[in-house]
Amino acid sequence: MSPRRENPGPVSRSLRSEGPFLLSLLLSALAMLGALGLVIRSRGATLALDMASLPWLPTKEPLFGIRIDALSCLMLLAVTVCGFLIILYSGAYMSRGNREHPSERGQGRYYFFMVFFIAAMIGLVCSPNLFQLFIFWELTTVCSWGLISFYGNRTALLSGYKALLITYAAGLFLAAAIILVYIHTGSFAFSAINLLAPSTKALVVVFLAIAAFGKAAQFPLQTWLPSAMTAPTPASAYLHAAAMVKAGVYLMARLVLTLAVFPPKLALLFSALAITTMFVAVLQYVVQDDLKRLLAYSTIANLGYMMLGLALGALGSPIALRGGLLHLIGHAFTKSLLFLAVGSVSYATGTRSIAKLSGLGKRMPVTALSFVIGAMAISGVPPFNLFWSKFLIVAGAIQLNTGWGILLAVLALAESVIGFSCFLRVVHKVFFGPVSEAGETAHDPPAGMSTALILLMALSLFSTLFALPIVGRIVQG
Amino acid sequence: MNASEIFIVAMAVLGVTSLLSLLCGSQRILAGVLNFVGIVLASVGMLVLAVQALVGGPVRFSFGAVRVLGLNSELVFSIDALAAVFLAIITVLSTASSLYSIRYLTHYTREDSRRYYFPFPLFVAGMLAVVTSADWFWFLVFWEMMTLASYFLVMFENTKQENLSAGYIYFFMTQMTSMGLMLGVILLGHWAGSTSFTAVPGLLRSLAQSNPLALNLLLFLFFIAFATKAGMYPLGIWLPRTYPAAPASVSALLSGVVSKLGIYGLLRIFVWQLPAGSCMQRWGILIATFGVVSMLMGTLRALGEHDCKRLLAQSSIGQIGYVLLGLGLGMALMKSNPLIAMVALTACLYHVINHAFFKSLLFFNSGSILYRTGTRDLDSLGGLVKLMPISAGCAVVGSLSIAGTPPFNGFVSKWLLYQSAIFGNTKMPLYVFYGVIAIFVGTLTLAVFMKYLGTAYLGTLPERFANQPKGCPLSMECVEFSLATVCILLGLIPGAVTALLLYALRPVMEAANLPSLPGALTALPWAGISLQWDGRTSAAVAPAIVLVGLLLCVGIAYWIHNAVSVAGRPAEIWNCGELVADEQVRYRASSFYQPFKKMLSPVYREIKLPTVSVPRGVIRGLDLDHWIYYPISALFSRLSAGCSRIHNGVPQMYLLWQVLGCALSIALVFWLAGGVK
Repeated sequence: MSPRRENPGPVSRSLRSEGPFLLSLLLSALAMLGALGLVIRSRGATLALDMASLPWLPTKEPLFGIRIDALSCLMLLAVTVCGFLIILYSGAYMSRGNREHPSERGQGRYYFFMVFFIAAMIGLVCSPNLFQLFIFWELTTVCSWGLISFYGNRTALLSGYKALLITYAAGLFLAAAIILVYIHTGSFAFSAINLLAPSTKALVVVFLAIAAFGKAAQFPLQTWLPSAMTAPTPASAYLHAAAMVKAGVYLMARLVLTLAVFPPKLALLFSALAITTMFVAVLQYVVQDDLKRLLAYSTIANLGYMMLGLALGALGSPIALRGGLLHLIGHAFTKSLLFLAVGSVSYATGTRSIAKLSGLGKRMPVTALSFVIGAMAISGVPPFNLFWSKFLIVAGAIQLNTGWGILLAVLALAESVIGFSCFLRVVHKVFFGPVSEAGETAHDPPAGMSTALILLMALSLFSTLFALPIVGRIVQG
Repeated sequence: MNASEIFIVAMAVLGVTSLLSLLCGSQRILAGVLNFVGIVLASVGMLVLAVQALVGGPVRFSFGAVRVLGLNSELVFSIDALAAVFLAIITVLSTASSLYSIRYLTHYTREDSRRYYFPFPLFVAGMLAVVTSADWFWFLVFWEMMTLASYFLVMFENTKQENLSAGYIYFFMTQMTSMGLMLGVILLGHWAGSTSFTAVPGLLRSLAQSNPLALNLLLFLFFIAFATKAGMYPLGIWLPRTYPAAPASVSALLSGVVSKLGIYGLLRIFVWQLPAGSCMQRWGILIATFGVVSMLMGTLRALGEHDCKRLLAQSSIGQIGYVLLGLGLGMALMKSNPLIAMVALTACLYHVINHAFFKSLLFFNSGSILYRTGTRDLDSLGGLVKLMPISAGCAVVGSLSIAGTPPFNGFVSKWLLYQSAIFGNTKMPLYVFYGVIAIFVGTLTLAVFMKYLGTAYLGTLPERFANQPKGCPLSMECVEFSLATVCILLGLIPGAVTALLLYALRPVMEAANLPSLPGALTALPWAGISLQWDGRTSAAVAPAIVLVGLLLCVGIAYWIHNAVSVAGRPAEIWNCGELVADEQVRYRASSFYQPFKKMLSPVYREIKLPTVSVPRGVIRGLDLDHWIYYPISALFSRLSAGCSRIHNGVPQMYLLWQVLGCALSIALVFWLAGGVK
């Protein structure tokens, strides 16, 4: 080996190791700017662009294209803004400075899957019909598999396999639903579901809901999510805050918004499943020692909140529907914040074990503040963003004017209290108190990571301000 | 500037103060001064509004409806006389506390002062917004923001284990009950169509007729949330843990103001918005009962404490009991005897003001002790009067005020309370009984504070404090001194205060069909008050006369003391020849009131929050992997393992499979073709 290859110049070395990062940062920044531009330009109007059809698949309308309405705008914001911030964060995280995973191997693979993931999500939320949605839906599944098993050890591979298996199996139901719709109506449009006979429609709704529940980790298909925590933390943040799981919520929201009449019994069933999910998840908070697993269960519970809002919306409460959508975007920022804060903790200390960590607030104030704000926001403390959405969801449950609605409201609030107490306990244990051995040499992460944290903190505080008008356009009246 | 502009400017000043404090870095004094200036500016603005409200009727301004939330809530603020009274308490005490903090914070050398000065103005802003908002939804939002900011202040010194659990219990309990409040507000908004204060009385009236159960449920949610914040026993178990954990300047505000906002909430919903009737009466009796329990338990437990801030916290529970008793009596008597109900409510409000001032004075005082000596443990204190004479004087004023000794302020409110309890409904022995307990608790309070004064300030000064510098920083002493002056003033001019409170109570009187209070409570010319019913004066209090009498007695005593001057004869302590240091034979705080602690031991049992743990079985049961997905995948593995056994590598076996397969295919074809023709 020649000495020149062993000692490459600083520029070429940094280019080789930083190249994938810089390129993906540029791409995600472009995606974010484009999305922001679209959101500002569309002002709630639907932008549509037809592109192509397949000659062997006759449909009434073009098969491929772009369709951006207010719901897509909401998703685009979550997907691209979180995507950009997480890639920004990854730059420093995926490095030798990381005490938990001090390695720079596989950077190209990591950034490939991340950027591909952002692209797949953008494609998914801009899809004009079920067919294109399905293609991107499966692409996100593939990307999630690539990211979850990124580290390549046995547990990572198994977890990736499990996530792939469950979401893919659920995805089969999406395919079945799409085929059913196509056979009966000759169209892949979302609105075609309205044309179906009631019994077929119910079947299609159930199939779509299974797909959505699988993706959004709802009971009883939630088990892939906690084990998916083997992914690199920024990837987990993206998967579980903004992208993967939100695709399921998006599908459900699309369904609720498209259907003129949602089968009421199914809506009741979905609300019951959502509240079950919330409790199944929240009871697991108590015994978690891994910070990321805690966040995983909290993700499941919050997805339950969103599904509850959507189900209540399907039952006839526009307030809850708004709450569910507001929760979707608020949770994207807040959960990213929490995951990235945990990432900083493990970056600086090399562990994610709650038992081993203590007193980090003194050593890493920015990270501590991020986690505290995230914990307050996720527990629904005003003025943070998730208070408003939780309030709307609970108010929507009350608005139903039924005993079931009141029960749901009380249970949702109870879940909120339990979750709050667990998060508060973790905040006290990990960030306050005397400094533990693991935290002795910890310090706040480098600028790129801190910037992402600070921006996400601001978003956790203010996201309601810009999300509320969009949500208002999605659900009018 | 009009009212809304003043309000916005005041809030903006607080926000900017909070942000600017981040720039101060480690400049503690600078940050403190900045904080003080910001709070003074905002307080002046809010006081102007309060005065406007008192002079020219309610000040109301709205920033428009917030309909997009679907709840018909309106961001509207209104300052009526009641809010003005609370505004006055908040502004004065926040200013005092921010002045006190400047130097007080310097003894927390290890903490970053930005964690104090950033939330502090936000905390004040939250309190101001709570009492000015006139819409329950926004009330809830500001209420929560206030709690959040106060939580960060309580957790200022967050490396100590006991502070951690204190902060946890505080935030958890208030958040839990706030969730109930949130449910209550949502129900209110749903039933009334709006969460605005103006819409609520109508709803409560119609609910009282159509659905009393729903009404009681609603009131229960509000009651729990506010009573927890106020510190009512047993919901106030967070107080004795939280107040000691917080810096003294914050505990003064928590005890002096935040707990009063709980009372404000109760007054708003139960007195201002709930129509008089049987429902109000029942809740009144309930609240009065809780008040009595709380005053008894709080004060008895205070007797047993030897940490000075814990003692003050327990005594806060006791004093809130007085306030609640006044409130409860006012509600219970509203229908049957509105005149005396007004006296009870006046007593309630008067005690709110009094307690705000003397309890924060005492907390500042305990802070000064901590500042100078580094400990809060009364057992290891003594003789501080030599070290900090001004604080000692203020402690005397505070203690006598809280114990209800004339002519200090606590006496007037307690006196009004006793009057209303005893004369309220002479046919109802319960109220009289409550009154008697209240009088008894008054003496208990005196005992508690004699212990505080005696162990902290009197006796011999321990050696280790002898070289400490004398006194406390001027700003801290100044705060204590002014609050002590206010306590004395509030006791000397009860006539003016009562007139103000009666003015604040006017809407309630109108609702109870009392156009005016015909002489039931009149201000006497020498600033006293007299109570009259059935056309004759039943009781009167004239603190000025009492003061003159007291001064006369003091003069006589001083004269006697001088006339028969006997030289003091200090001597060594005699212990059978053994030399004992003063330190060793001191009568310590823990030795006080042993009989109480022995006879009433259940009272002194530590209340532990029940810890909830989820059984492991449940956790495992919830883990679907274990009993659904993994068994299914294991089944698949076994199936495929079974299938793979077919691949044994023996050619004969493969031939056998081929033959069998052919036979099966042929049979299938035959069957499909319909058999042999």
